[in-house]
Amino acid sequence: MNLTKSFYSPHEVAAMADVHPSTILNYIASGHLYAVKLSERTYRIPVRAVIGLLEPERLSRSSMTVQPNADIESEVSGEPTGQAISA
Amino acid sequence: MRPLSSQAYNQRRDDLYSRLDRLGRVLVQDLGSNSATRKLVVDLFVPGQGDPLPDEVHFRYQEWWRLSPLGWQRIRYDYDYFDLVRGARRGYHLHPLEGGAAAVPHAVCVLASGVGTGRHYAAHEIDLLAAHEEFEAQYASGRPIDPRGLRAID
Repeated sequence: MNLTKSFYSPHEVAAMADVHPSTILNYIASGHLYAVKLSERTYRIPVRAVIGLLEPERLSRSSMTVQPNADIESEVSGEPTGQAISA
Repeated sequence: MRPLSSQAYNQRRDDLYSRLDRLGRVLVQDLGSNSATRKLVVDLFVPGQGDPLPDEVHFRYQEWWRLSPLGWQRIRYDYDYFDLVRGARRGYHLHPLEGGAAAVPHAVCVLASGVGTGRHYAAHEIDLLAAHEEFEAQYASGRPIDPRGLRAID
Protein backbone atom coordinates (compact mmCIF):
# COMPACT_ATOMS: atom_id res chain seq x y z
CA MET A 1 0.00 0.00 0.00
CA ASN A 2 1.51 3.28 -1.14
CA LEU A 3 0.08 6.14 0.88
CA THR A 4 1.31 9.53 -0.26
CA LYS A 5 -1.30 11.91 1.12
CA SER A 6 -1.99 13.13 4.63
CA PHE A 7 -5.77 12.78 4.37
CA TYR A 8 -8.14 10.56 2.41
CA SER A 9 -11.84 10.72 1.64
CA PRO A 10 -14.15 7.90 2.76
CA HIS A 11 -14.50 6.84 -0.89
CA GLU A 12 -10.74 6.56 -1.29
CA VAL A 13 -10.40 4.47 1.85
CA ALA A 14 -13.30 2.29 0.75
CA ALA A 15 -11.54 1.60 -2.53
CA MET A 16 -8.31 0.68 -0.73
CA ALA A 17 -10.11 -1.57 1.74
CA ASP A 18 -12.30 -3.05 -0.99
CA VAL A 19 -15.51 -2.31 0.86
CA HIS A 20 -18.54 -0.15 0.14
CA PRO A 21 -18.18 3.53 1.10
CA SER A 22 -21.11 3.19 3.49
CA THR A 23 -19.04 0.69 5.45
CA ILE A 24 -16.34 3.32 5.96
CA LEU A 25 -18.95 5.88 7.00
CA ASN A 26 -20.33 3.36 9.48
CA TYR A 27 -16.82 2.83 10.85
CA ILE A 28 -16.51 6.59 11.32
CA ALA A 29 -19.93 6.89 12.96
CA SER A 30 -19.16 4.07 15.37
CA GLY A 31 -15.74 5.46 16.27
CA HIS A 32 -13.93 2.47 14.77
CA LEU A 33 -12.21 4.76 12.26
CA TYR A 34 -11.07 8.27 13.09
CA ALA A 35 -11.96 11.12 10.74
CA VAL A 36 -11.88 14.89 10.91
CA LYS A 37 -15.31 16.35 10.24
CA LEU A 38 -15.00 19.37 7.95
CA SER A 39 -18.71 19.91 7.47
CA GLU A 40 -21.96 18.05 7.97
CA ARG A 41 -21.20 15.63 5.16
CA THR A 42 -17.48 15.97 4.61
CA TYR A 43 -14.91 13.86 6.39
CA ARG A 44 -11.18 13.59 5.97
CA ILE A 45 -9.46 10.48 7.26
CA PRO A 46 -5.85 11.01 8.39
CA VAL A 47 -3.29 8.69 6.89
CA ARG A 48 -2.48 7.36 10.34
CA ALA A 49 -6.05 6.14 10.72
CA VAL A 50 -5.89 4.55 7.26
CA ILE A 51 -2.70 2.71 8.20
CA GLY A 52 -4.27 1.68 11.51
CA LEU A 53 -7.19 0.21 9.61
CA LEU A 54 -5.32 -1.55 6.83
CA GLU A 55 -1.80 -2.18 8.11
CA PRO A 56 -1.74 -1.59 11.86
CA GLU A 57 1.69 -3.21 12.22
CA ARG A 58 3.14 -0.24 10.28
CA LEU A 59 1.99 2.36 12.75
CA SER A 60 4.70 4.42 14.40
CA ARG A 61 4.52 4.19 18.17
CA SER A 62 3.43 7.01 20.40
CA SER A 63 4.75 7.25 23.93
CA MET A 64 3.97 8.62 27.37
CA THR A 65 6.55 9.51 30.00
CA VAL A 66 5.70 10.15 33.64
CA GLN A 67 8.37 11.81 35.82
CA PRO A 68 6.77 12.50 39.21
CA ASN A 69 9.91 14.07 40.68
CA ALA A 70 10.70 16.48 37.84
CA ASP A 71 11.25 20.05 39.05
CA ILE A 72 8.77 22.35 37.36
CA GLU A 73 8.58 24.95 40.10
CA SER A 74 11.44 26.97 38.68
CA GLU A 75 9.50 27.50 35.44
CA VAL A 76 6.66 29.30 37.20
CA SER A 77 8.39 30.60 40.31
CA GLY A 78 7.41 34.10 41.24
CA GLU A 79 3.91 33.97 39.79
CA PRO A 80 1.99 36.12 39.75
CA THR A 81 4.73 38.73 39.80
CA GLY A 82 4.62 40.07 36.30
CA GLN A 83 7.21 37.70 34.96
CA ALA A 84 6.75 37.71 31.23
CA ILE A 85 7.66 34.88 28.97
CA SER A 86 8.08 34.94 25.24
CA ALA A 87 4.94 34.75 23.19
CA MET B 1 -11.26 25.49 33.86
CA ARG B 2 -12.28 23.81 37.09
CA PRO B 3 -9.65 22.19 39.31
CA LEU B 4 -9.05 18.48 38.85
CA SER B 5 -8.40 15.74 41.36
CA SER B 6 -5.25 13.69 40.73
CA GLN B 7 -7.40 10.91 39.37
CA ALA B 8 -9.28 13.25 37.04
CA TYR B 9 -6.00 14.81 35.92
CA ASN B 10 -4.58 11.41 35.02
CA GLN B 11 -7.78 10.40 33.26
CA ARG B 12 -7.74 13.58 31.18
CA ARG B 13 -4.08 13.01 30.32
CA ASP B 14 -4.76 9.45 29.22
CA ASP B 15 -7.82 10.50 27.21
CA LEU B 16 -5.80 13.17 25.43
CA TYR B 17 -3.13 10.63 24.59
CA SER B 18 -5.68 8.24 23.09
CA ARG B 19 -7.50 11.00 21.24
CA LEU B 20 -4.38 12.54 19.69
CA ASP B 21 -2.78 9.20 18.85
CA ARG B 22 -5.45 8.75 16.20
CA LEU B 23 -4.10 11.70 14.21
CA GLY B 24 -0.36 11.30 14.50
CA ARG B 25 2.57 10.19 16.63
CA VAL B 26 2.14 11.66 20.07
CA LEU B 27 4.68 12.08 22.84
CA VAL B 28 3.24 12.92 26.25
CA GLN B 29 5.29 14.00 29.26
CA ASP B 30 3.69 14.31 32.68
CA LEU B 31 6.23 16.07 34.87
CA GLY B 32 6.32 16.86 38.58
CA SER B 33 3.21 15.17 39.93
CA ASN B 34 4.92 14.68 43.31
CA SER B 35 5.38 18.41 43.79
CA ALA B 36 3.05 21.40 44.04
CA THR B 37 3.52 22.29 40.39
CA ARG B 38 3.27 19.90 37.51
CA LYS B 39 3.49 20.25 33.77
CA LEU B 40 1.90 18.40 30.90
CA VAL B 41 3.73 18.48 27.58
CA VAL B 42 2.14 17.02 24.49
CA ASP B 43 3.96 16.86 21.17
CA LEU B 44 1.93 15.61 18.25
CA PHE B 45 3.61 15.11 14.89
CA VAL B 46 1.44 14.55 11.83
CA PRO B 47 1.47 12.28 9.91
CA GLY B 48 4.21 11.08 12.28
CA GLN B 49 4.98 8.05 10.15
CA GLY B 50 8.43 9.01 8.91
CA ASP B 51 9.70 8.24 5.43
CA PRO B 52 8.13 8.56 2.85
CA LEU B 53 5.62 10.83 4.58
CA PRO B 54 7.47 13.78 6.13
CA ASP B 55 5.78 15.53 9.03
CA GLU B 56 3.65 18.46 7.95
CA VAL B 57 2.47 19.68 11.31
CA HIS B 58 3.69 19.81 14.88
CA PHE B 59 1.11 20.49 17.56
CA ARG B 60 2.79 21.41 20.86
CA TYR B 61 0.61 21.73 23.90
CA GLN B 62 2.06 22.68 27.28
CA GLU B 63 0.16 23.20 30.51
CA TRP B 64 1.35 24.19 33.97
CA TRP B 65 -0.77 23.16 36.92
CA ARG B 66 -0.55 24.08 40.60
CA LEU B 67 -1.92 22.10 43.51
CA SER B 68 -4.60 24.01 45.44
CA PRO B 69 -7.00 22.97 48.21
CA LEU B 70 -9.53 22.26 45.45
CA GLY B 71 -7.18 20.11 43.41
CA TRP B 72 -4.94 20.73 40.41
CA GLN B 73 -5.51 24.18 38.95
CA ARG B 74 -4.29 25.09 35.48
CA ILE B 75 -2.27 28.30 35.82
CA ARG B 76 -0.62 28.64 32.43
CA TYR B 77 -0.74 27.14 28.97
CA ASP B 78 0.85 27.37 25.54
CA TYR B 79 -1.14 25.62 22.81
CA ASP B 80 0.70 25.92 19.51
CA TYR B 81 0.13 24.71 15.98
CA PHE B 82 3.24 24.80 13.79
CA ASP B 83 2.72 24.45 10.05
CA LEU B 84 6.04 22.89 9.11
CA VAL B 85 5.39 23.14 5.37
CA ARG B 86 4.55 26.83 5.22
CA GLY B 87 6.56 27.85 8.28
CA ALA B 88 3.66 29.48 10.12
CA ARG B 89 2.47 29.27 13.70
CA ARG B 90 -0.88 29.73 15.40
CA GLY B 91 -1.46 29.49 19.13
CA TYR B 92 -3.50 30.13 22.22
CA HIS B 93 -1.59 31.09 25.35
CA LEU B 94 -2.29 31.95 28.97
CA HIS B 95 0.53 33.77 30.74
CA PRO B 96 1.46 37.28 31.86
CA LEU B 97 2.35 39.66 29.06
CA GLU B 98 5.28 42.04 29.10
CA GLY B 99 4.91 44.44 32.04
CA GLY B 100 1.81 42.78 33.43
CA ALA B 101 1.20 40.71 36.52
CA ALA B 102 -1.85 38.65 35.77
CA ALA B 103 -2.00 35.83 33.26
CA VAL B 104 -3.78 36.99 30.11
CA PRO B 105 -5.40 34.59 27.66
CA HIS B 106 -4.42 35.57 24.14
CA ALA B 107 -3.82 34.23 20.66
CA VAL B 108 -0.67 34.37 18.57
CA CYS B 109 -0.30 34.11 14.82
CA VAL B 110 3.05 34.29 13.07
CA LEU B 111 3.34 33.90 9.31
CA ALA B 112 6.36 32.61 7.41
CA SER B 113 7.18 36.19 6.44
CA GLY B 114 7.57 37.07 10.10
CA VAL B 115 4.36 39.09 10.16
CA GLY B 116 2.78 38.78 13.59
CA THR B 117 6.02 38.22 15.50
CA GLY B 118 5.62 39.55 19.02
CA ARG B 119 1.96 40.41 18.49
CA HIS B 120 -0.81 39.26 20.79
CA TYR B 121 -4.44 38.93 19.85
CA ALA B 122 -7.59 38.84 21.94
CA ALA B 123 -8.81 35.40 22.96
CA HIS B 124 -10.84 33.77 25.68
CA GLU B 125 -9.47 31.07 27.94
CA ILE B 126 -9.70 27.77 26.13
CA ASP B 127 -9.29 24.06 26.82
CA LEU B 128 -6.56 22.04 25.15
CA LEU B 129 -8.96 19.85 23.22
CA ALA B 130 -11.00 22.81 21.98
CA ALA B 131 -7.81 24.46 20.71
CA HIS B 132 -6.70 21.21 19.11
CA GLU B 133 -10.00 20.66 17.33
CA GLU B 134 -9.77 24.14 15.82
CA PHE B 135 -6.18 23.60 14.71
CA GLU B 136 -6.90 20.11 13.42
CA ALA B 137 -9.86 21.30 11.34
CA GLN B 138 -7.77 24.08 9.85
CA TYR B 139 -4.98 21.67 8.99
CA ALA B 140 -7.34 19.06 7.50
CA SER B 141 -9.08 21.69 5.38
CA GLY B 142 -5.77 22.74 3.82
CA ARG B 143 -6.36 26.38 4.71
CA PRO B 144 -3.13 28.22 5.54
CA ILE B 145 -2.70 29.92 8.88
CA ASP B 146 -3.68 33.58 8.73
CA PRO B 147 -4.61 36.30 11.22
CA ARG B 148 -8.05 37.05 9.78
CA GLY B 149 -10.61 37.56 12.51
CA LEU B 150 -7.98 38.21 15.17
CA ARG B 151 -7.94 41.53 17.05
CA ALA B 152 -4.56 42.79 18.26
CA ILE B 153 -4.38 43.74 21.93
CA ASP B 154 -0.92 45.38 21.91
